[in-house]
Formats: sequence, structure tokens, C-alpha cells
Amino acid sequence: MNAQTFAVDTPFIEARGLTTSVRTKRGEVPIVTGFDLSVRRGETVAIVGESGCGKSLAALSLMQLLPKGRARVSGGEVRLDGRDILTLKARELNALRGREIALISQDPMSALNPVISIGAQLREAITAHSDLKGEALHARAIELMRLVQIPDPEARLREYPHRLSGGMCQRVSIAMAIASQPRLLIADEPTTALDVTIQAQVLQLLQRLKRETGMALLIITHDFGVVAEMADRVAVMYAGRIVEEGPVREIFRNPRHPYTQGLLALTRHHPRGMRLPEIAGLVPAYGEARTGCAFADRCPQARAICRQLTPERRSVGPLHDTACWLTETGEVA
Amino acid sequence: MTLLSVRNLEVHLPTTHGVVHAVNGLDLDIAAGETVGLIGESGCGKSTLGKTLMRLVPSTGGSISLEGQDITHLDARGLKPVRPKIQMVFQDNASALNPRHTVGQSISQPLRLNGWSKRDARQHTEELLARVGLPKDSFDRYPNEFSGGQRQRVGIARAIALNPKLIVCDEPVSALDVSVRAQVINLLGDLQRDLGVSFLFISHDLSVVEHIADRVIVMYLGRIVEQGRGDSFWKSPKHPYTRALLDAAPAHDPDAPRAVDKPLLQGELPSNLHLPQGCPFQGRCPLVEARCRESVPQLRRAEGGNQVACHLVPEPAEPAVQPVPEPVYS
Repeated sequence: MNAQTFAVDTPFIEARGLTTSVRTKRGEVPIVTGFDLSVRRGETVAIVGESGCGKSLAALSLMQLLPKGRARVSGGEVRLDGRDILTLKARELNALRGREIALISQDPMSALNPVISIGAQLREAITAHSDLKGEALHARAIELMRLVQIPDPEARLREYPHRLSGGMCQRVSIAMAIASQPRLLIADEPTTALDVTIQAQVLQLLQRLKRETGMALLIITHDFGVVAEMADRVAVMYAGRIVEEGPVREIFRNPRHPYTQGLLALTRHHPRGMRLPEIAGLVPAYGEARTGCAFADRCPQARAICRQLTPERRSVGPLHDTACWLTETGEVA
Repeated sequence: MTLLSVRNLEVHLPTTHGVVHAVNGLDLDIAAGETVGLIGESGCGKSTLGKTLMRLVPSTGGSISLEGQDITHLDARGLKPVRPKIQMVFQDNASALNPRHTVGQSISQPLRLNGWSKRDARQHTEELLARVGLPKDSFDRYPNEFSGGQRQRVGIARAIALNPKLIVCDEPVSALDVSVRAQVINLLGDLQRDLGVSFLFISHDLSVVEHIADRVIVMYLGRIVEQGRGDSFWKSPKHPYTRALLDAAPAHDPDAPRAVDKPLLQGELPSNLHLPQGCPFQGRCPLVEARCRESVPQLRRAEGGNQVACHLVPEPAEPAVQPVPEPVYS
């Protein structure tokens, strides 16, 4: 499937200038800054970045699921179908969650309640947005279990999460997430805890569900393999900012930000005995105060201006932009 | 020269649910200076194998020899001179280091236990820290002051402290960020070149194994189903499981066929509480036949150079070696 089939001009969800801050001992520290991203209907967008880059926090901000008192959106806006959801009341938000946007997380074991049966949890997810009861409710639960390809659904519904493998638990959490036919599914590292064989099965399942329901998918990952497999469009995050965004082929063929280039170089095949290309140094610590580009310290091509001013995102091609001073003057890497 | 030699190793572990058949008759040789990559899904027995080689998990059958010495049944006293020769690097570097010990203490402890004086141990530890690329002042700092990648360097420094012959690396980079992974892989490569140490490199990340391993072994339900030298292995995988495993790995290419359009290996690794009769892979194999349910296929050479344990893989045509002609007496 390609994005154009479903894409219409207005985005389904759009974040503009989103800034999310976390409360620490040193006061409120912005973790995600100036986050601009939109997802159109039926589209799959991937946010890719290393741990601590703020990709999960950005996704939680889109759903307004930030831990109360510890993190909050301190700037910008999120529009869902044109409506600003940051100003909604808790009740209005709950009507959106599950119905419009649903979330699956990295660790399916902890997303499920260990002392409640799979069936009870799935039925709860169904009744959150519907009036189904009795036989009809049970039938819908079975239907969802079949949809996510869990063998022997009748028996599985009576079981508890610990009886299921990680892959099966992830299928159950996908079933719960799609119970109310959301128009956007946010998947936060959905396959990171799984073996490659099970990862392929779960990615195949997500692609199939997308094809059948036309829902949009926002997938958060650190793995460019998952990006290539799933995404129509990619946003690369580093230290709380999107540093490059573009169509998936464009990002793989013609990455413009040195960080994207470095990450992609690592995914290519390197003969035995050869050293792998390294990105020197470490991912900066949360909320580290800095001036200029956050990647400058690790960037092989950094210049004086990179340490002084933060680059803005600028277009470098059709639907392709990057925040890097090197692309500014035409001195392309 | 063969450094490690494992014959018909069996590890059956009693649990409250029954006997776990973790390793079921496995032969393995590792040469000096060689890197052997071990791949397979979680639960296939690869970590248990690594720990059994370290004598951290008891074996229930077969033998393990290191440098020609049978270490299978050595007691604690007998193992003491053997321990420095096999070391391990763990996946979870946070729990592999004692949080109440400074990094210096963690690295120098094996030295002290092997009779080094406090001063010599400290000096050597500082050299080791420099060797793995950590600042000198790391000695007096605690593990929580380091990042995951740096802690893995500490674990590596500890593993090489006593000049081991073999290091079992159990998923050493799986928990690390992508950009840090390459640094640690390069460090391991440098160490191997400089120290001539052998690695048993356990990983589910095929691209890492492809980069680092001289030889690759695929495990399924406690058995080797295929093995081959680095070049031939990736070019001509023969076992249906190996092929499914390689197919499942993401292609890193947006133009490659996507999962939804590919036939994928279905199901999951079965429980090892009760082993099936016959081929361990029969339950998921798309090509399964009657004979697969009867006898266990043994490893044998296949076309392309790999050794494969599958009834369906044909034996290669006879190698083109001319028989020595009979002398003709006239």
C-alpha cells in the first residue's frame, strides 16, 4: 500500500511547535522541543531515534498521556481533525482515546494486567466505546482474537497473560488497541522485545490490519530495519528535536543530516574484519543545557556556527527537510 | 589448534514444571583466535550453552574440554586454574556489575583472587581501563555514573583482565544504542586482533553476527541445525529454519518486499519440556515429511559448504578429488 491511496491534504493529527517538559530537581527541563509532525489518514509515519531522544515522550504528548505532575506540554499545539486537543477536558479526552487514537507499547507484558484474564481485559477494551453485551460482546472478542491471528481464541480468552509468550501478549494488546477501530494507532517500539521471527509476524500483522482498516500508524522505533519495512514517511529525532524528515525512500537514498547519515551507514553491510563506521561520543543526557546544534559535539563536519546557533528545519527537497547548518549554504555533505 | 571441544553435550534442567531440555546432544569446536557466532530464537538454548561452557550451569551428559583438558566434572578446586581461561561478557551490564563496588574494584577483583598485589592490580586495572577506552579516573567511580556503553566497556575490561583464551559474549550489544553498538563491536574486534582471544558470540542480531563471526552456528531446541564458515553461511543457507530466520530479518531497504507480501515462518519456538520425536523443527517446517517425524537428522555436509541437519537437504555430489591411480605394473 502506498500513502497516496489514502492521503488527503489535511492531516489527521498535527503537532506544531510542541514542547514537553519534565519536572526534575533542577526545575522544569524541556525534553521535546519544537516538535512539528503530522500524520495523514491511512499513512504510516515512523519516528526513529536512540534512547533518550524524546520519541516516546513526544508520542505520549500526542495522546495527552503524560504522567501527571511529572511531565507536561509546555508549549505548542496538537490538532486532531483540526481540533486543539491540549485544551480538552479529561472526559472529552477519554472519548478520543481508543476511539480516535490508540496506543500499543514496547512491553506487552506490563501493558496487560497480570491478575485479570485476557478475555476480561479485551472485553473491557471493547465496552469502553460500545454497548455490546453478552453473546455479542463475546463474539466480538473472538473476532478480534482471530483478527490478530491468535490460535484457539476461545481457550486463550480464559487464560492469564503469564501463560502467553511475548509475541502473543503483543497480539492481545494490538487486539485491545484496535477494539474500537481507532483512526490512528501509535505503536511505541512494538517489536523491540521480540525475536526477529516474531517481529516479522507482528509487523506483517500491523501491515495487514492497516490494509484492511485504513487506519494511520505512527510507529516509534530505534531500528531502521523496522522503518524500511513499515514507513511511508520518517522523522529522525535527536536530543528532543526532529533533525530530518522525509519520505522513506528519500531518507534511505539521500539522507542529508550527518546523524541520519551516520545511523544509516551502520545498517549497511560491512565485510568481516573491517571496522564499523562509528558515531563518536554519547547521546547527550536529558535536558543538558547547550547552545547550537545538539549533534555538533559528535558531528564529523561541525563548524563554528554549529556550536553557536540551533539550526531550523529547512526544505532540502520535495517533502524533505533537515535541521543542519551544512545544508544551509549548499555545502552538502 | 582446537581450543574448546564439546562432544555430545546435554543439559537437562529440572524445574517445577518438568525437565527443561535446554541442550540436546551438541558438538562444538572453537579454534584459537576464532569467533563463532551463535544465533537462534530466545529459548533455543544458546545462553544456557554459554553458561554451561563456563561451568555455571551443570551439564547432564557429554564432555567439555579446554586446551585438551576435560573440565566437565572438575570440582571448585580443580576449576580454579581453569576459570581465568574462560570469561564472559553479559547483555545486561547494569546487573553484571556490583553497584556497591567501584569500577576499579570490579575489574581488579579477579586479579586479586589470582594473587596479584593490590598495587599491581590497580596499575594493571588502569591499563585495562585505558585499553577499553575509559578515562583513568573511572577506577574510583561507581557503575551508575556510566552510560550503558561505558558499562559494557567495564565488563569487557573485567573479562580480559586475566588474559582469557575464550570469551563467551552473551548478547553483548543488544541493550546498547545503535550508535554505541558499533563502538563496542569495534573494540571487541581490536581486542581479538591484539590478544588472539577466541569469542563465542551469542546474538539474535544477524547483522552483528555477520560482521563479526568467522563461523556461524544456528541452534533450534537445543540442537545445531546448521553451521558454516562466514562466507558460505550467508550465501547458501540450506536448513528451512535458517532460511526462515534470515528472511525474517528486516532488509533495511524500503524497496524490498514488505512482510505483508512474504510467506513468513509461522508459530513460535515450541516448549522444550517435551521434545518431539524426530526433527526438532518439524512443528513449524513448511516442508515437513513423514521421515522428519521418525528420526533426528544428523549434521552433514551440504552443497555450498555448510553442515546441515535436515533430511530434505541432498548430499552434495562427490567432491571432485581424483582418486590416487593404482600403480600399473607391466
